[in-house]
Amino acid sequence: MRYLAVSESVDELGWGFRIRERPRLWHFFAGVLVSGVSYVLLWFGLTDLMMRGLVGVLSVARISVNGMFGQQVPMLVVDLADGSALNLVMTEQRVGLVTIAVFGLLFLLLLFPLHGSLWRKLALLEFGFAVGLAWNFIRLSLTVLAGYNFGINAFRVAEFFTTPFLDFLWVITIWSLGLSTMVARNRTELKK
Amino acid sequence: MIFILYLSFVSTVIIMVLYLVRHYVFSLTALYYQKGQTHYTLHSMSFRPTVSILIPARDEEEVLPSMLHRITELTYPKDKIEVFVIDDGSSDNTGKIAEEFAAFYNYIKVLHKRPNIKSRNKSSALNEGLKHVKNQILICFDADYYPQIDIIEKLTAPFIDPEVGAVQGRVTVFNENSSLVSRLVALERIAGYRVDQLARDDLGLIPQYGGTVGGFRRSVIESLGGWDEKVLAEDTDLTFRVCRMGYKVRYVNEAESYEDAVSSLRSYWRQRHRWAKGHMQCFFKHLIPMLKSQNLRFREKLDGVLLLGIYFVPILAALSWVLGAVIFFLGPTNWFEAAWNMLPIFVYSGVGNFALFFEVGVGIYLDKRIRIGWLIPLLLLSFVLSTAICLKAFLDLTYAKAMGRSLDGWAKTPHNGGQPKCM
Repeated sequence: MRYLAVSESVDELGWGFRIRERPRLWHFFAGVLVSGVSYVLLWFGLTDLMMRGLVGVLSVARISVNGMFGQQVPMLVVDLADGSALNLVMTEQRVGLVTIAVFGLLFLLLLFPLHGSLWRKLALLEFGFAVGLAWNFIRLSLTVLAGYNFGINAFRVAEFFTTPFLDFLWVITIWSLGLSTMVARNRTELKK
Repeated sequence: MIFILYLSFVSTVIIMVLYLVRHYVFSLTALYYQKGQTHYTLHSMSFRPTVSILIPARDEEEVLPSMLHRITELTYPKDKIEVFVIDDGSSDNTGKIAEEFAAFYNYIKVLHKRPNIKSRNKSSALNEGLKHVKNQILICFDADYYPQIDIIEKLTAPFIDPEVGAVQGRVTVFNENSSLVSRLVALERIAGYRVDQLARDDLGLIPQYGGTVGGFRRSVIESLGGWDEKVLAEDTDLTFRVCRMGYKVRYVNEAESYEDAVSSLRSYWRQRHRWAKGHMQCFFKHLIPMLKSQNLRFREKLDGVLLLGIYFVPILAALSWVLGAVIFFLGPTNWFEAAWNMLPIFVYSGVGNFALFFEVGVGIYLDKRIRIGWLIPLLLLSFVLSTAICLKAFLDLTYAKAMGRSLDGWAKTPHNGGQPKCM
């Protein structure tokens, strides 16, 4: 009966709060600026960071890996358990730049223009970027590990299923969490 | 061969991008369109047409008492309404319950059809009711719904415009907390009505009459010859027939009714399979006549095509996924990766209106809901299910067409009596 009570008692406002918002364009442009700067930093630094991280993690697991840093085509060469070598070209998709860009776009287009604090939106955006970085690092480590143990084909299959379908799980999850945070705040303000 | 693969893949992605843009426009409209509908609740307005309410029922003894009790609570002047419960050969106490209400309230009437002469489907039961109605406006409710007490005022208000032929209200899931399935259905309903239907109404497109919680001008439905008994999705069918006739369909977001949504996977499958099959049937029936219609503007035709084709989208998404997989293993090119990255966006959507996850999110935001938003990532599950449902529906429809079999028949959605109990 929760809905009925809301719907029938608040005749002017009603269930669904049908008063339209005006988009916060200033928030949107601030978001473009901050996410743009963050993305440029990631664009120039993420591939190298990811490669170094992978070399470190795989070395701990005693997997022989050579990183070709600073090349036009950055690449990792992993010696697999079956004696073959996996040439892992670090594309934008593999290091997670594409999904991070999609996440940033989603946030900019659908969350920044909404009613709510700009600082909260920026914090959520940066939090999302951090989760994206962690997710992509773990995903890439696991796919390389699958390739090391079960061969190049296993790597390709693992990559196919994790990129970009499972990759999007974090995008959608963080976005919906961000949205519910905004709603929670708006509801508190409305009650006041 | 590889060229055909690429071409097919790109074609499917383009179609889905078209849907993506459509739903993004809908989301923005629902959020920010300042000229859009606010609310229609004009309780003081003098426009009070006479209304006939039709409630088709077969074996609905569990839910009918709540519905009829609610009908007696409606605030609309009782001298201007008549209610017809069409007991379509029920084998339980549906008819008896309706008769008990009719004995107390003179505006409630019961039409009995003998058990051995069962109607072929809901449409024929409604057509039976149509023979008896005398009032200007006709409002339909399913027996397992629970409307707001002032819903008739809200639903009849748009009929002040003589160009309006049909109207649809909002459906909200009442038993949301029953199961994960009912929660996912609630997500779909929020996006479908709060965003999709509202935006279509705001933009002057084709809001869809949903078969219940909606109504018609009697003159319009009579001139159309009533419900088409050969069509499974009689609601979609009627929407397009009304529009092709030159009348508008309006959506009233504020006119809410609460439904006892399906709460098990089996019921979900059966209900959506029927919807998918019926909707696809309407696609083939209405596509060409709608495109040729002189009464529809270009944008209405465009929206009509996308609306009619909505149940093909999960199939297309699955197809593009398979095509993409083949290309992926053959050795992708750079541009392919960009298109490949588009696909996951589409797999987070609900069946029924193909509302993409952000549209669901916008609906939740507008309704000021919090916790249900955390379930958005689970739309992946409903998408996988809906792909299977739509594919099976398409195959069944093709098979039935090829074999010349009829698709009609009463399809009763199993429910658990989750409506509020009458006192």
